[in-house]
Amino acid sequence: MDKMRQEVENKLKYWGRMCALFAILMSTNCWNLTRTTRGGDNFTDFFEGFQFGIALAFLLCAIFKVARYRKILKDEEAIRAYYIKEHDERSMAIWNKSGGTVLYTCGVLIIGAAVVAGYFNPVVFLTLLACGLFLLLVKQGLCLYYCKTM
Amino acid sequence: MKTKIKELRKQRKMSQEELANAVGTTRQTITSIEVEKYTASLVLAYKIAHFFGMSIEEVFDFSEVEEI
Repeated sequence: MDKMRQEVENKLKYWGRMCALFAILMSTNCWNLTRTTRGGDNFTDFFEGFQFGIALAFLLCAIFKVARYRKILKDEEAIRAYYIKEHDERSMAIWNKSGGTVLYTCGVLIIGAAVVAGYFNPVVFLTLLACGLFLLLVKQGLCLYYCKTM
Repeated sequence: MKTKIKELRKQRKMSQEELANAVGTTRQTITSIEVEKYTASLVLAYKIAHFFGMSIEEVFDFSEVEEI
């Protein structure tokens, strides 16, 4: 049980740090939004909105995860259930078979690259964004497929 | 791979959820093993067999496994 509890505590610490990081990103975006003169071209407005939206989405995800892990830590049975779910060998097999690690990492990195590219070129930004979303969609599709067949 | 998990479970009047909890896996995994969609790992096979007080060969049918 100690091992299980330790794992949940580690995840809580990790997502707590992520929460702080996304809060900083979010406040930077808010600062930028108030500083920038309105009425720029369409792409600039869209890019700023995208940055704000993605930072907000990550922040909300991190807050949700922190709340979830805190709730799990209060109940011994929930810790065990969480541990079993996380270490379920069929779920791991599905993740591995659908190339989860590769597709997920590439998708997230490409979306990160899209944000950087957005400062220089709108076409590259949109292409990378579509590519990253496509990879994440393929990963999700494969996971669903193997969930049905395994 | 064919298994006797379902009949052993029925004999003991256990649900899939109860067996899954006892061997530390999810109900979905037990379902997949029972309907022969998924082959359990050696560790899980050992846990299931150990739970029923039997050997792995008694619970899992290896007769259809190809020999090389």
